[in-house]
Amino acid sequence: MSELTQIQPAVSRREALRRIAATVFAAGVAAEMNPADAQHVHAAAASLKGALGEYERKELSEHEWKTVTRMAELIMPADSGGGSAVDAGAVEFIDLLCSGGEPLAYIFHGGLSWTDAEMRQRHSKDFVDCSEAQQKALFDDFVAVERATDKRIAASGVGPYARFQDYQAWDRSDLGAGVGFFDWMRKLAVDAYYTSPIGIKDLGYVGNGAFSSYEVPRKAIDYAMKRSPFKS
Amino acid sequence: MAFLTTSSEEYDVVVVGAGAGGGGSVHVLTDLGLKVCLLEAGPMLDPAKEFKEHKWFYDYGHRGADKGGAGYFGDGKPYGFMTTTSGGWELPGEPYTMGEGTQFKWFRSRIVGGRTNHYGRMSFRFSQLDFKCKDIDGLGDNWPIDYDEISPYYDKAEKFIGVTGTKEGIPSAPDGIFETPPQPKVHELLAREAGKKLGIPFIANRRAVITSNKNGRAACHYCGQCGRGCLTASAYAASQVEVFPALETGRLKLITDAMCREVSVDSSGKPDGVIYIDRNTRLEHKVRAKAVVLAASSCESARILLNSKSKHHPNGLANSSGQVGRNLMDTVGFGLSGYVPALEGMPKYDTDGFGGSHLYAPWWGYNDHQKLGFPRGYHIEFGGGFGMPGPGSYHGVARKAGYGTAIKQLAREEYGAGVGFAGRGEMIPNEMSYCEIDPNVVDQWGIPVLKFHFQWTDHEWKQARHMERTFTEIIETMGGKVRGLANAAREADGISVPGSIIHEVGTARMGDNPKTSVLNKYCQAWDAKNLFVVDGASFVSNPDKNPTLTISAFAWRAAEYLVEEAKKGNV
Repeated sequence: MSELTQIQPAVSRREALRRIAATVFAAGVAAEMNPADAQHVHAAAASLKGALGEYERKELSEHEWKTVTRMAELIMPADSGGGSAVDAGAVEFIDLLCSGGEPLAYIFHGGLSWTDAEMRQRHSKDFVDCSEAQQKALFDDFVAVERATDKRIAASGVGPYARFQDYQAWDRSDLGAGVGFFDWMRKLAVDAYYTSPIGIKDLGYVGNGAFSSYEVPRKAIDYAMKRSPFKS
Repeated sequence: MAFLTTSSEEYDVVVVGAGAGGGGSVHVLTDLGLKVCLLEAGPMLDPAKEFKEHKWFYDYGHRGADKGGAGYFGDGKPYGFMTTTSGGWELPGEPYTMGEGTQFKWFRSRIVGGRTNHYGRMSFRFSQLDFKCKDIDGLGDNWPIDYDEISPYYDKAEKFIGVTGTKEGIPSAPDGIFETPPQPKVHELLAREAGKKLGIPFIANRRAVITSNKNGRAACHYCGQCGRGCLTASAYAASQVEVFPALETGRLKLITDAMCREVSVDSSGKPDGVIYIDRNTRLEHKVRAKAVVLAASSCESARILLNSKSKHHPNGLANSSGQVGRNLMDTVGFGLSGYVPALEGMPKYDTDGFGGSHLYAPWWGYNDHQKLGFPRGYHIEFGGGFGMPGPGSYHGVARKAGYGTAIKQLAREEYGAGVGFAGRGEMIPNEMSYCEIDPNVVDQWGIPVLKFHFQWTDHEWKQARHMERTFTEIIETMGGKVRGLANAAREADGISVPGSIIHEVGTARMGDNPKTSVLNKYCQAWDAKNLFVVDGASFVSNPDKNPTLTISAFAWRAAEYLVEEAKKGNV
């Protein structure tokens, strides 16, 4: 896999961008952006599925792939606002990153093994074979440890000066390794989701365009002003 | 084994470094008809290949986290995968060292255009208050010029580069020749209202971005991605705006991958060119020229001067004052982020704009220093809006929400309601902050490296605490809550790590007195009339205004002066 593993953009999008460049580079003429082109860029760019094509598993074993899939589904499930992290390519993303370097590969191989060992101890089954209730119970335990840690930091009065390490100093050493891995799993699932067209649409990000003027809609200004201390 | 070859051609001027100072120099010098050679330590820039403008993170399998998720471990590209930074805090085979107790970060960009390809484009004029700072508080030194002397060159630089802004008549922030700035965004309007209550003026930002077509450059198209490099050159970069056009004159020879080691001198001790090492062949070459202009970046230029030792200049060239490398300054940085409920659920709109904030607050407390308890001031930059989500954008939200649909719900709720304020303030030069040659270490080109010494003093710490109080007040007056440090990893101690704001200046300062300064007010070395230093090294002080525009103005003036003096036979 090459370093950047650049996905082939849809030809229509490339063509649209070429036309933008051609317009703005035309010496001396006004850089009027054809609104249809701007729209086109957005529409073409939003088709991740076609762009991704077939992905071949690289680093994770089949079992690990299944486990990561299940975890990503639980962490970022589909809802009315959009698909799941799995739909957004989280598993491929994690596998690709793990194939690219030791730190992440070790974190995932190790974390997944720890999780299965923990679940076998609790329920005599691997994570993927446990019931949804059993899987969620493990995640609930992780979150409880995180919350207790956050609470301790808040109570310590360090406020905004808390350091990254403080947030990683888990309050229950028996689950520490699992909480640390869960945090990685969640970070990558969340990143896969919000960097995908699904996540971008869910949030409602409407930028990355090219326009000949910049305007702020009146209704946005009025909305915030009315809710602000400056409403009068 | 490397050996020396000398260029058969003698140039009028050899310029070292293709950033703001070097780009400005070659633009003016070739325009005035001179035959110029420009050395750049890095490769040629190909914007179409290097700039990631308009890319989405999903255009890359690694989604911007870089190979193996390097970005998660702090090993990715500085300022994120999408930026067009070339170089960084560490360069392979080119170390720098630090004295005991010093923490210093040195950002070096090796490419045509240097750091101007990706910088913030903040462009603020220094004021008379800045040039005569010692008269006000007795600290540091005055500059050898008045504002009125440099003002025409700010005019020239602004007209050529293009800088947005509005006329405001604020003494600490002189007005210039401005491009029309874009309309403020909603969170900026709220900050402006808060500023009115607190006596802090938020005005149109002054950035080196054109909003109308100029010299074949297209007006800004408002994608807000200046840091990725601007394909349309709407945001100023020395490469696209100065070096490339100068190449077209036929009077400029550009040599890339040329690592300058020293300024060479003739038998009388007068500079006669520069010696560089070709990074591809490791061979050493000499470019002959009638005049030498150093613009390698403040510390790199100081390094070249200190390494240019000869029997005439045993302590390095232009260093009879002993001031080369001294008076090293960076900008005082501090950031705070907040959450503003008034912005929750706001109708979505495109907040990309022209990159950076559309408003900023110039220093407002210039009459209050007795009361404030610290000298000099700072300006406020800030961010917010519905940004393009990238890797890391929602880690905090996810930690807070736990897992499940709660993460998505919280992300939707908070989207666009976060704000971040950053102070950029003036440091007073001190004797503990300087760079020198480390006698024990060379880089992979065999060139002795720099050793840094740096300490903030009470002046800077007090100013950073004032920033913290001020940003807290602004956020709370907006009806919001402080969330935390805007960049905890870097500023966890309440003040930026020295060097990390990348405004390092002062290492070959100008002055009225050859005994206490390196350059005269034209950036010309006291010790060698045909030697000029036109990067931030010439700065006597480091006002809160980002250095680039002032580098451009002084470089322009130096180039004109060089040509005038050459005509009179004085160089």
